[in-house]
Amino acid sequence: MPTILIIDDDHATRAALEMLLKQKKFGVFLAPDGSTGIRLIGSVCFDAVVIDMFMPGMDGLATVRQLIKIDPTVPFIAISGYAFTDRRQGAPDFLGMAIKLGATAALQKPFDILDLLEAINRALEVRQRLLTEIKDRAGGLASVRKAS
Amino acid sequence: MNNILVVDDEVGICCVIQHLLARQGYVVTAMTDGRAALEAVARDEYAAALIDLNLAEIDGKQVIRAARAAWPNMPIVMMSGLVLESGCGAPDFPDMSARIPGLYGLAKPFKPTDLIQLVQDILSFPAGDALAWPAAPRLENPAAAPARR
Repeated sequence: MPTILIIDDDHATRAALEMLLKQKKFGVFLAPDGSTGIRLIGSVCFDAVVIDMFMPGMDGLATVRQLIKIDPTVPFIAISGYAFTDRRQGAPDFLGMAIKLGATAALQKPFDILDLLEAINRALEVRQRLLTEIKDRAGGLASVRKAS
Repeated sequence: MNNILVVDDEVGICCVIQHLLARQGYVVTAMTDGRAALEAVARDEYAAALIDLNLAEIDGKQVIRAARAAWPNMPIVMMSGLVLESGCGAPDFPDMSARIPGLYGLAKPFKPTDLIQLVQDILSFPAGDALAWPAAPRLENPAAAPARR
């Protein structure tokens, strides 16, 4: 059962996503803020992380940067309830920034649960591919060492 | 007996471990307070204890020593993660667990399946003579490898 961590300061979002993802047989864990999420990521290997970009304290982008430091193979999906994509107003595009940092998907709230499920499935495929690559490279290095 | 003590000063981590083990049918007592854990291990017997080495107020090793003194045959899993800010690595689990029978290491971040497997493995050993227990199983965690320093 793949385990998903949801980091979102909004209780209603956490509860809704927990219910929906548990129905789809995912193991779901919740963090109400970025620092709690990072401490959990430092202890448990999750298969994917869903991160809200706007949170008090450690915001989504700071959380993502920490996540990448701890385990760059964990795929993450950025979600946001605010649409600051109009650059003429000088507001940054946080979801776009998350994609640049490596998010496998970025979803604007309110999003369709089917879109989230698709994003999670894609993230799990990315994770699996990365782990296989790491394993293959480790195997390759071991044979090079053995040969030398 | 399938009751397991979990000691970690991080509430969220206690909850995750409790949830993962409870789903497998274990009865979990989770504690975030090292001093309360010291009292608990001296008083109550558990099938196994999972104790974080880096507790907030007291050293996790103190809890491990108290647990070992009170229940010499109870398997103990010591957990530890990397402290990102200091760059300190996890302790040498294989070395410590080789020296002390019945003591196992679980490096954070761990995969939920590894945690469950480890608990199932250590609880499948016959209770009694701790010296007869096999060596700690080695856990591979390729996902965590890039974070090792």
